[in-house]
Amino acid sequence: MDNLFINIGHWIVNLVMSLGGSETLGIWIMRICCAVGILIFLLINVIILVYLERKISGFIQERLGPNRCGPFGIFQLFMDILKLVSKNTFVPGAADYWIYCLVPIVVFIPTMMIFGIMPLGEGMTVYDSPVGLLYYFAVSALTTLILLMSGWAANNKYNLMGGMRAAAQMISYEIPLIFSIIGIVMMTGSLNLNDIVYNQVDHGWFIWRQPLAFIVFSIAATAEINRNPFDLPEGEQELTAGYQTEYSGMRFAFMYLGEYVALFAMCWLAAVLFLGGWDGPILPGWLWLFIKSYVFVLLNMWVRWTFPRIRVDHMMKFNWKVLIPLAIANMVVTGVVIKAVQFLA
Amino acid sequence: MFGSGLIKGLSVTGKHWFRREFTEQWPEQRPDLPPASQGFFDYDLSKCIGCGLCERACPNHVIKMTTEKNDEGKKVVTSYVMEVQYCLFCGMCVEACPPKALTNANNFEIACYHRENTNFDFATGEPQKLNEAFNKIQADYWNKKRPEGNPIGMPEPVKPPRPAPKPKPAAPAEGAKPATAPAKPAAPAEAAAPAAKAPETAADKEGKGADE
Repeated sequence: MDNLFINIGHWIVNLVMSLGGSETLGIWIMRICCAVGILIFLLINVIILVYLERKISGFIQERLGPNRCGPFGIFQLFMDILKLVSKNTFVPGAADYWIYCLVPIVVFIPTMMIFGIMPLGEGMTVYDSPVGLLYYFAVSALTTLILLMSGWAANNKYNLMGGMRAAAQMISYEIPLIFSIIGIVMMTGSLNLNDIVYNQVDHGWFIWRQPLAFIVFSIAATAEINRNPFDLPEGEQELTAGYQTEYSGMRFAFMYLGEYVALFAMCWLAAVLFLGGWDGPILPGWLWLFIKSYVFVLLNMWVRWTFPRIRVDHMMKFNWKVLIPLAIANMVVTGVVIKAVQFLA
Repeated sequence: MFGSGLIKGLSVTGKHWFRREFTEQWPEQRPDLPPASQGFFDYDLSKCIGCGLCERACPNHVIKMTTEKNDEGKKVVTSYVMEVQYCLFCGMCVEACPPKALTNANNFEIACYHRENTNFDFATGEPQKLNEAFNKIQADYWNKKRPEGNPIGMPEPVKPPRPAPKPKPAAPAEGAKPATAPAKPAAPAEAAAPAAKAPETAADKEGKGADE
């Protein structure tokens, strides 16, 4: 059970080799299968996430959430997607046509690329990169560009303001996000996500060894994926829907789903970095990782339906005056402790 | 402590998360309305003295009543029609009624599919039957009985009568190829008209896009 997906991968390689292909060809076909599998996995997760979000928001507000369409309302999202598909594909006359149409297509791509290096279980990494963590942040930073594209291309003041806010916020919060992780990288001595998980399996989870980093990371990550209380780029009250304002129909659906995929990727990374990845008893490793990432998802949704939106200047002030100093302090203390331990040992 | 408010907020929402929901799943669940809630109207013909004050109190002229004198020289209501489509349920008629013949009922389930069905003649007693049925369901809900079927007597969805379909002159496929239908000279011309329109509208759209 633990090696279920690895065995499937070996089976694909063996199948290609038995059909006369070389091993390289088999590995590449396996990787393509992995990419398709990850895409399907992400889309299924988006369905679960949207359903969870609606149900949890309902429960916290003492409502029932969707409950009419199918048992417990599980088909509500499908019906919504059906409705969005049936809508006219409208492009505003003044919009920059190609960029406007490109945004909903490329909004998934960074997250897809992220899951290429993400450990999905023990030994279940599509491409085991030695600089996985660096790659993660390099690629996820592209999301900023995509949101800015949507803000600029739609030629609407709300889109533009949303896109600008998104760029300002995401670039600012990337700094504490990365600084908070440097402590982990120093303790592990590697940027490889698998190495980080193995280190946690041996020496204990990083949520206990780096508690301050965990707090800074979870706050900065919430801001990075534009979720409440940092959802300024799409603040409904002042910006209608921010960078999504001019999108309708299936394009809007893609933007919406892209957000949830980004949320899921961030929660998965948090589970890998702080909750010990696949480390856990009885259940197979990939299931543990899945459960841990959903713990973060639930936490995030709980936070979302609790806190009001933070003000723009407060958001920036909080980042530059609180989070970054904390992250740097954590970094320095971790370095001193590591050196002290080395000196004493 | 800095940040203790956040923990408090999370604990509040966390408590609400597992509380019982307020949502009432109408129509499976029925609301337990207070007796004084203003829904539909109840009208007691035996109490009514036919003074017409309700008619005059109504700001929208919803109430139309006709009276006649009987053998004893007393006013008797012959019809009491409320055009509920114009009613704003302000309750002025109820307040105006001297013998309290017109009262508020709890029944709020008076939605219907056709405008004619919104005219209720209270003198015939049909609205009272609606109210009674509703009250019975209310009582059943209080006694934890689930209603079955369509006990309220809500009108079943009726398809509005459609005008008879006009005989089509010719299939559009024939219109596209007029040469194949030389036997029917009139038909292709008629059918070709919409076909000719379609490219025009498309061109209009393109023109609009170019202008903008």
